Amino acid sequence: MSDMLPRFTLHRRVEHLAVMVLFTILAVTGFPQKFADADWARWTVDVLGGVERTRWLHRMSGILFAVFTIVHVTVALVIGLTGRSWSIVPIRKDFTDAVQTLRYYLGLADQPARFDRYDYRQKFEYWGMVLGGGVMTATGFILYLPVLAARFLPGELIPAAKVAHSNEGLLAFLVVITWHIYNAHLSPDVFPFDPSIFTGKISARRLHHEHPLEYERMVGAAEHKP
Amino acid sequence: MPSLEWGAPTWPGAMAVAAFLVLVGGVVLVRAQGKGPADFAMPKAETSPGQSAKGKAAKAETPKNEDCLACHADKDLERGGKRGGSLFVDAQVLDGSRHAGLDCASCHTTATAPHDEKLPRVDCAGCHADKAEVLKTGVHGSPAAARAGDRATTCANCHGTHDVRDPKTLGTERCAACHQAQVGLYRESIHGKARARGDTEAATCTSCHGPAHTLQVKTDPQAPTYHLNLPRTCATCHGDPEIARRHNIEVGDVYKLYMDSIHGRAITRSGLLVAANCSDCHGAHDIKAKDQPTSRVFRTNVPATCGTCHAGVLREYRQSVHGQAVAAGSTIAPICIDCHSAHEIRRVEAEGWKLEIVRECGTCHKESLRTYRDTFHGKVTALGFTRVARCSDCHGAHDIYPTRDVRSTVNVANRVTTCAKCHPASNENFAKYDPHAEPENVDRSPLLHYTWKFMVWLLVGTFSFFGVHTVLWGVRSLVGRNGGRHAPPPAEGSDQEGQDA
Repeated sequence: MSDMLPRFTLHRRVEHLAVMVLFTILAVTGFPQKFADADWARWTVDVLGGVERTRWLHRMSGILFAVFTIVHVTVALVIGLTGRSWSIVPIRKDFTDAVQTLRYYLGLADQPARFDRYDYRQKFEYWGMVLGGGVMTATGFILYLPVLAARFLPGELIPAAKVAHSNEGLLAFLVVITWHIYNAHLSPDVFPFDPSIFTGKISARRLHHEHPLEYERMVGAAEHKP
Repeated sequence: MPSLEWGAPTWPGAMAVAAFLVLVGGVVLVRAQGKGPADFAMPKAETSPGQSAKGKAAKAETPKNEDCLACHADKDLERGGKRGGSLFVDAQVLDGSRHAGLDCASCHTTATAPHDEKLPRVDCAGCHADKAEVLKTGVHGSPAAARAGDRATTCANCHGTHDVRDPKTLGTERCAACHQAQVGLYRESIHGKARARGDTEAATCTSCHGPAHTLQVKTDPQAPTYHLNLPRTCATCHGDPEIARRHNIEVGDVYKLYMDSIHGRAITRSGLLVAANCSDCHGAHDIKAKDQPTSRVFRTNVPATCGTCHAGVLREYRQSVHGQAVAAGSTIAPICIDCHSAHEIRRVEAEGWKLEIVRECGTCHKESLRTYRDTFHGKVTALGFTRVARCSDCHGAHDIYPTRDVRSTVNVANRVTTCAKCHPASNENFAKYDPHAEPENVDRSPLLHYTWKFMVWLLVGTFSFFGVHTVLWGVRSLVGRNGGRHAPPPAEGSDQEGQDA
């Protein structure tokens, strides 16, 4: 048994990197448009070279983000439907895991739940990301091409799309800076930095602590190999 | 002395005259040094034609004042002939005048006592040659003025005859002798009234027109009242913020603002004679404070004042909802200057103006500005982008009508066309977009309202859950570090110890 175990394929690592970069660009170019009255918004837009360039960057990043979302969902469906893995889909155990873990946090239980490949927090974040990404993509295109959208959808949807896009963007941003940054950087378990999504590998020790069921399956499978 | 006749004044000509005048003035000053008025009047040399005439009279025996007054002290003494008129001379008036101490013969150089013939008109240039020369450079001394018959300008018209006074004491009444209408307007003006109150800083005729001797008509490019020169002339007083402060004038730096405005630039950069200068808006002789109902810049008079040049705009504005409101007596409905300002008027294509005007509309239409700012259009204009719709792009500018009016660009019947100005493929469905949608207003924007509510709760809910969860996790990670996830499961204790090492 080696010290490092595989966790993420190259495809997942590239996806994460792309989403990380695009998410940052989208936030930097998007929030000045949401908080247009603020001084920092004007400053940011000036630094980026004006409103037109800011919007162009936002839209191009948005299109790329949408492409990654579509590819991701398609690949996930293929993997799932061909019976290889549904590991990211929430199941009832996630709910009981959450209750158990919260009890543990509050000191009502001695042990946190024992997690499989993805724990309930990761699934929560993942589905927030995928569903949020879907909302952002759909509303983003309505705002990008409002006249085209109005050929199929009522005109009243445009302001609604704007409010959804704007608030979902803020939500995603807040989740990332609180939940994800905590998970991947600040948590004492991984501080200062969890490199597994970049290297694709995780130490056997961490996998054993954080995803014991996955660890047992992998180690068990390895042991069965000749 | 060379003849100084010319046609239209030219710069080289004017310079030559000025040089000559300086020379003559210098000579006269040198000659006059050390002499009192009486001495000065006594002829010494016999070089000029005027003085040679005096010389002959002196030879014939110059009459003394008593000789003259022997007849002219008679109050009933009248001139014969058609013109008639009194020939009475009040010796006391002369003694009280600037010319006190001069003999009659000092001016009436050809007089004898007694004399039958009518004496020639007194030639003031005999003593005041310099002034006479200067006068020729102005309109009052021009050949045209000399041909004006009864109204021909003579020295006496302004300075008087035997009652000649210190020029500094000559007031507007002297100008009124010929320019009655203008001085009449002036006396009712803010400047005239201030003068009447004893304000010595308030403008009089010469403050704007320049000294009477060199005064030019306003069509003369040298005149301080020439269209292109007037702003600078007004600025001699109104360019000074201190004067504005002393006189409670609201806009202290009015001159700077004006010179930077579209009108000021047209004047200074292009020399455009049709560009508004100070007097085009404020009037000239009849300038009144803007709170006077008869002032050209009184609130309700402003559209008509601007309309003297911008006639087409005025016609549109008068029909508009704003113009109608002003006509009906509204004091809050916008007039030209509320949007365009008075002294800072800029091109409407200027980026800065395009953004400020949105705020200007919002000073009255607060709710509309608030809801606009919440839309995509409003947010990017707040960032300085002017290619998206601003108030006037949808509502019009001078031709704004109530929404229910079919002439309104935002009337339901016209919306697709109005949207199509920026969104060429605009259609009925697209035009249902509400550019002032309010998330909080369930009646106006139900779909938006519920989406907004859902998103707010989603945000609050998710963030609260994540926040609380993270805090708990963090606390537990620190507090229960050794008893938590790092505690080795009993079955694999040996493995774990090995890895920890």
